[in-house]
Amino acid sequence: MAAKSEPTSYTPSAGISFQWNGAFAAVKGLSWTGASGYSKGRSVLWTDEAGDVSITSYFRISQQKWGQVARLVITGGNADFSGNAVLLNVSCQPELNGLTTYTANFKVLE
Amino acid sequence: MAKTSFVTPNDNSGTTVSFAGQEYKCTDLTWSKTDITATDEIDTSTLDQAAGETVNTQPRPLVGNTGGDTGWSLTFNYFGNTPIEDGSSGPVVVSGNVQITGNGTCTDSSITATRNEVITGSATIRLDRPDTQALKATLKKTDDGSKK
Repeated sequence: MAAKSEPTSYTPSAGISFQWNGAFAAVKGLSWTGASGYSKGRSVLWTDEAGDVSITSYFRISQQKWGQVARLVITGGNADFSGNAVLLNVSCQPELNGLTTYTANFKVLE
Repeated sequence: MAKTSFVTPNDNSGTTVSFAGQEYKCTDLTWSKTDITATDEIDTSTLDQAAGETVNTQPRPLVGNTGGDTGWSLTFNYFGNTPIEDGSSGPVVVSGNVQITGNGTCTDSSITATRNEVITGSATIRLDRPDTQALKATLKKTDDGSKK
């Protein structure tokens, strides 16, 4: 009879910090997609597929930083990521009887 | 040794149910009270919080609830072949060892006819809360988001 296995403990999504052109506070959700597809040699396509990062925050994210490139660093929660990224767009999501949240999407450049 | 006290059990004989002036031949009833303020907060936790920290919450911006739910309801089954009109309102009186006196609105009503059984009805009555104003005051917020 097989021995009873001990329960596995996984990394909680806690203690995560997000930095791009300064630290972002009140981040309630994020996702990133790593590079895939084309190799570095195919410059334009490589940029297209270098990866995407998206965050959602309770803080208002300024659209004035649109098009700016800065170092993007995510640490903690086993969600670490780093790269240079450009702010693609900012969107706003008001919720009836809830809180307004903002989403910023980045494109990873290298 | 600590003395254990027991509540005297009550039977349900002699229980009568009337709604909107109509008395029903009730076969069973459930009277429930739910604290609708208990879950009416927004989870504002963020990813930068450390594991083990308390969940952050914030009161909702609108006072009260949006669905008209008072958290109090009476559900009962009865002998009858006519469903209680949904949305109908009136006095609710339950007497016997369960006692309710107030007003309510029918939110759900049905009739069930089963082979070799008598026809039965079922109704859920949303009971008005006598403390509605107090409830709203509890939910009223100050500008900084804290409860008064």
